[in-house]
Amino acid sequence: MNRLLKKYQLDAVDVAFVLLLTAVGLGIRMTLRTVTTVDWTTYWDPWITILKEQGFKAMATDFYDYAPPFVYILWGISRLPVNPMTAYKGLCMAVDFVAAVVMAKIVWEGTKSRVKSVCVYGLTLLLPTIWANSALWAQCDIIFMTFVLLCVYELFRDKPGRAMFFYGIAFAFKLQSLFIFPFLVILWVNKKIRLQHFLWIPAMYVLGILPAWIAGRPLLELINIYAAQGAQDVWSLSIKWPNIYQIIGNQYFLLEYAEAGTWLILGILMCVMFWMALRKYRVTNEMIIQMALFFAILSPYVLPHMHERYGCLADVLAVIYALMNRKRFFVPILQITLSFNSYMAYLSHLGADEPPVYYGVWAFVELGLLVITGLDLYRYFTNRENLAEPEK
Amino acid sequence: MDNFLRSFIYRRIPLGKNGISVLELLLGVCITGVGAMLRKSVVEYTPVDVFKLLTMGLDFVMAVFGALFVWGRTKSRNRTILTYALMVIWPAFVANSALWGKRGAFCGVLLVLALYTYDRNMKFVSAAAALGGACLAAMELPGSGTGEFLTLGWPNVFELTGKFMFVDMYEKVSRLFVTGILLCVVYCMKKKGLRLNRKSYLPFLLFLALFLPYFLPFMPGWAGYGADVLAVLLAVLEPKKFYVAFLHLMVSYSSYAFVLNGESKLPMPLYSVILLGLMLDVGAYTYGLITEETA
Repeated sequence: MNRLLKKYQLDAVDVAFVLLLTAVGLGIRMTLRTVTTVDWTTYWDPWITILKEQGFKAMATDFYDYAPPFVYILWGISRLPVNPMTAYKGLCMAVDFVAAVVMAKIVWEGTKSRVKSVCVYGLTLLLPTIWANSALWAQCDIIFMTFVLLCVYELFRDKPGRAMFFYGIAFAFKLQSLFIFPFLVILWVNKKIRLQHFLWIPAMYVLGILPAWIAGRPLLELINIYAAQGAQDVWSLSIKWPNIYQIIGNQYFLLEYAEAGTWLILGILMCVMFWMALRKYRVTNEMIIQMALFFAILSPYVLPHMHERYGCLADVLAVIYALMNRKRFFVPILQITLSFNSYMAYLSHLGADEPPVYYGVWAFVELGLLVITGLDLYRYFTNRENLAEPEK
Repeated sequence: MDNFLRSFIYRRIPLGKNGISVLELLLGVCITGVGAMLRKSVVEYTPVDVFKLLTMGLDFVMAVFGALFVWGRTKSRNRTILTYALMVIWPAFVANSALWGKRGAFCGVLLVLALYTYDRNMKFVSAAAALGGACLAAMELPGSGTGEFLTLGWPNVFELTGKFMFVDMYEKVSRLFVTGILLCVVYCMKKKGLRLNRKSYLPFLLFLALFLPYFLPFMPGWAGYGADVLAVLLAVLEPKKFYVAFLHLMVSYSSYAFVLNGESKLPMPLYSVILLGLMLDVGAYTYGLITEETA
């Protein structure tokens, strides 16, 4: 024990804080764990029932439109002799705690401040969009987010191979991990990542779909599972996420803008990446987190059909960003507030009513955050001190 | 492999006098494709005819002239290619030509051509292009007494003061008011010896493009097209003014949506307030430039 405390330079107060916050985090989750949401009754519960009845060979059918690795987890849950919802939420809640530890490690690498890293462990457990996602809503975003956080952590430690390995796993779980993909390309341009590391992405994806393919589901269907996922929930251009469509209108041009929005974000990303790739820069931890956050806000801001939960990656990145740059303390506060507002718009109104503060107002707030993070990046890229030294 | 690819994207291809890097070429080609796909995804919303296709083609011509204008000003390849990219994917331009089937691109091309030729000291061509653009715009605008309301979709001053009352009277009054204000501007500039020059005429034109549709009656939803074009060019030349282009785009696009399907997620008077703020901001910026140059 003493060796462990010494290794992480923790004292009794730190340990007490960690234990107390763990208890508080657990308390919050235990309070919420019994809530049954529509997502549970419509998707996870019937899926688990199918898996329970048909076993692993059910993976051959098309009852699921989520990435197979997630369905394997459900299959595992279906085998357990406990209440499925308790097991499912319990697993996601456990991952919350893992994510909190990874957050603490990232902040330690980024700031070398013991207080900040211990604090962020507690803060992560208290973040409303984290506990509401797993314990209340029965969603699983924390799984892919944890792998993205591990990717960031390994990038901070200058271990790009491992970073891309974790990013590959994140992608195998959720398509939303692609929100921040452009920042990895910029890191490649700046020699932080090698081309071969990118192979982890298709490798982990293929590895993820392999058992389902062996079980009998056609390979083409499995490869296209994300495309099929994108073709659902197209009844509104923004599914309660405060983005550009909450300003210009989300009920018309459903077909036209669904395609145009995707092309538009592609065009925007091309321009941004072109500008970022013009010169080579010193890659610092601050730059990594700024870029990741910028893209985590930008992509869902322009992409059509974005759900209420799609800001949660930006939520955790914003916390790290603020801890590495004290002047930006308000960024996570605003980001999490608007993100949680979207959560609640779904959870409390079940799609029927408008939330107390209208989405368009939050869309402007999100735009402000996008501009602030964008300007911070602009300042970084235009500061000559941040240019990489010329090669000899 | 890594180093080869990294150095390959910066390799210069001997094309023209200055050459072009692979990265620049890549952006140019890809963004043209994205621009075409953007238009393709919305083109069937209104009937497609040769005229519409021509207008969509003119969007790209306008982007080329915009890029040439910026090149003439800055001699920066990066800004030039970014201008082209921005103008090709700028949602207001895509919506005007491909979605709505309007002829903004005709005016836009002539406007940007006028700016480009003015900078190159081709005063006659510039004046002809500007006149042609203005005439085309005037022909497109609804004539006197055409509307039931004082604004036909553009969130201007009538969204704040009311668009249903005194329509006949306010139509005339607002035209006279605009004339009066313009005369005041000319008078002040003359008396104070203020002159427009190369740096200040672009923001001055932008101010006019914001001011005129803000106070004139019966302005349609696309009345901000000229301001959109000028705001993009200003944003590239003066990156600190990027917000003008983006906020104006938002207003412009929202008014398109409002006119086309009656949907406005936010109250139109709010957009009117945003436009007022932009107009004041650009006005103050232009005044600062003019007085600075004159001093």
